[in-house]
Amino acid sequence: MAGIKIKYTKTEQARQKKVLKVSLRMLPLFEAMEKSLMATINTIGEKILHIREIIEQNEKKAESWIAILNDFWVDLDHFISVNKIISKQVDVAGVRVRQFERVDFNVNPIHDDAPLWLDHAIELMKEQLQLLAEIDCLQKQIEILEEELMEVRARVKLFENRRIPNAKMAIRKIGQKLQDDERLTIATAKVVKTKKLEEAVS
Amino acid sequence: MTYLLCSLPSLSFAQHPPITMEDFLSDAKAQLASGKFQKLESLDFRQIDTFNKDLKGFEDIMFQYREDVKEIRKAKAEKRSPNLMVLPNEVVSKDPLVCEKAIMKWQWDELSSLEAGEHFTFTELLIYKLKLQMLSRLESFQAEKGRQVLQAIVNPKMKEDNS
Repeated sequence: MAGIKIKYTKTEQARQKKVLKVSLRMLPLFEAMEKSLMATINTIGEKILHIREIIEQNEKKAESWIAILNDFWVDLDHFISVNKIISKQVDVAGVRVRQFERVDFNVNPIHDDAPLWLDHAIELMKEQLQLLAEIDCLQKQIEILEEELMEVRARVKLFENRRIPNAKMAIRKIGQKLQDDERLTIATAKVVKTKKLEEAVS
Repeated sequence: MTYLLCSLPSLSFAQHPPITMEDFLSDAKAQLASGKFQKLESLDFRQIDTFNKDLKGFEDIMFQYREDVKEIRKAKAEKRSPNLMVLPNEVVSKDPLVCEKAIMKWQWDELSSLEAGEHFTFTELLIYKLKLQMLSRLESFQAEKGRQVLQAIVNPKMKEDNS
């Protein structure tokens, strides 16, 4: 409140009352938004952990034959690569983010004489690449939601620590000042009246 | 040729290659006529068209093998059991490494059959090279390196479609 000049008028008092009313109405909304964003971020975090578990499971499943991926007769890079990640824009907890849809792969045809393990390797790589791309997308969502959460938290703090207490204090001070002014006016009027009466008697 | 074949270490399936391809070709170059050496040098297991008339029997087997591989892929797509001509049924194993090793063992045995009766001939030398290639390939099946290959492919920089 220090450094803020208050206009001690009834108009200002009414304005501060309006500010207080709006702030008290907005605060629960921002608090709810904060909770919703936190819950959404946690849910996305859990989803990422779940996807990581699937990736590990896939790696474990392939552990028995992973050695063959080093077959120097086959250049795996030649057969599969990521072209682009397809995502769409959605609203999550009131924030616009991109949601993973699928990965568009560049897959070269497998010739008849290519080793049979290549089919399994391409399947495995497709799945792992899809899962990793989904994680990437979810992490970006978390980044955006965390930014929004920071802003909402700043607003909650602003309402809790500044706007509401300031408005309350301003209303109280203006009220006191207006009351004092009123008393002073009455007192002055009484003095004037008494003086006039005294002059009339003398 | 006899001296060369006598000087080469014997090969058995899935062993560590007892001689490198470079050493083998260097020895062969020193002891073979240039025409024969060129035939030997150009021979590649992965390319049937490099097989010459000395390996005609194996070329036919490899054609049948390709038909079987085609049939396995087709059967998998159609979700049925494959009807194999030459490959043993164990190659339809779910584990790709077991499957590949079974195929390679079969190829090894086929080469050994072809080798029977061939003593100190050029065919024996060609088969030796093919077997040495197979051993080098088997040697490359290493889990740690396989993991590295997988990681290198699944963690590339990806382009995102922001449209």
